[in-house]
Amino acid sequence: MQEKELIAKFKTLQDIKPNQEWVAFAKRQILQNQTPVMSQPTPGIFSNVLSLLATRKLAYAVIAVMVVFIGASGLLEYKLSNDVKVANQSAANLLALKSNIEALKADTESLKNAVASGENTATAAQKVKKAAKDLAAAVHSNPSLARQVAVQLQQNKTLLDVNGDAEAQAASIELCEAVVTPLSKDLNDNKANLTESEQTKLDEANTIRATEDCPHALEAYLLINTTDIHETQPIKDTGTNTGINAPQTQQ
Amino acid sequence: MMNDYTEQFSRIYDEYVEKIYRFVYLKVNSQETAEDITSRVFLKGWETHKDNGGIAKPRAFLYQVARNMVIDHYRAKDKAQSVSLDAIPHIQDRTNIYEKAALNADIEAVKTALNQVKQEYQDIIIWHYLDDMPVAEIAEIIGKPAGTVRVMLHRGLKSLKDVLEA
Repeated sequence: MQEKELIAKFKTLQDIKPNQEWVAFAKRQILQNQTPVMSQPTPGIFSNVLSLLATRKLAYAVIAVMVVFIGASGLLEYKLSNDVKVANQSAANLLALKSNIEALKADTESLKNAVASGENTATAAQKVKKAAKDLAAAVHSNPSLARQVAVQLQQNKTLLDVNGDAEAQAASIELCEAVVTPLSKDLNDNKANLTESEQTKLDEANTIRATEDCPHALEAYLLINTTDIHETQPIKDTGTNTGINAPQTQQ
Repeated sequence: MMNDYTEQFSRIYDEYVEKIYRFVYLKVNSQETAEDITSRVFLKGWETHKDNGGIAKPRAFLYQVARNMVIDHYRAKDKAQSVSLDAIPHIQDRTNIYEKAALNADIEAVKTALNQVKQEYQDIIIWHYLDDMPVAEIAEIIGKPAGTVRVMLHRGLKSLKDVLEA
């Protein structure tokens, strides 16, 4: 059998054809049965798209709300945390300040007693010096505490009246300067806001400070009412009976 | 737009339904199974046509789907892929359902011979000699070089000849 004959014979298989009724029926089944899904393309597509969009919108909305909520929560927490930190830091500073003042009081008293009894004042003087330096350092690190310390020093004048030891006296003066410097600066920076009489008092205080009489300059500065300029931070008594009263704004 | 899709696929259906049916029928030797598989082939084609906005090469696509479905059919039924001679009476019993096809003795002989040829040759012989599918397109469908397809066609035809002459 030749190849052409074979192919010709093979092509007789082309006579195999499907039932035409089935062909038409299958076509209807495939196209029309699927068409209902397709025959309303606009609503179908739009409803699908809309539902998809709605789903996505909802998802995006939920995500957006979550992001905003988390962000707000985080911000609030951060702010509160910072506020608490600031408050805690402020409270800690005040407590440290009170502790330093108490130490200075006790050490100054010890030094006085030692001088009065003729005992060796070196140890007591060193303690006074250290306490004064610690307090001065506290004021240096946080000048807003200057007024609080100034009030305490004014109410306990013996704290700046240290006799018997040169180094302790120097530390005492250093403490006074540490307090008076920011106090003076604050008042002079805001001199324009002071009344005429307050400005006069400030000039007098500046004159006294120029004479290097720090304790009296301190007193003079405190006589100026500065509540409108500088909000005094009271040292609240926490009930530990530290002996330090809340500072009074000088009238 | 959807009517356009329907019309396009309607034309594809009209053009290929007989070829796909014949290809499937020659592979499964059952009118019912051939109709079922052919319907599913075109349903798959219709879904693809809708989803993708058309089929680039409908003939290759439909034959490829048909081929895979026939394979799945045999896998599912765990049937022998070659048709035994016992199937011939069954085919002959069904000749009356074809309106135009008269399966004469020659057709039966060729068909039986084809079923005895290696499976890999059957497809390409049908595609090339029955449906006039170019070698390049066959190569694309089966994923082999055109040269390999030509060799396979030559061997398949020789094998068919050997069976018919035996």
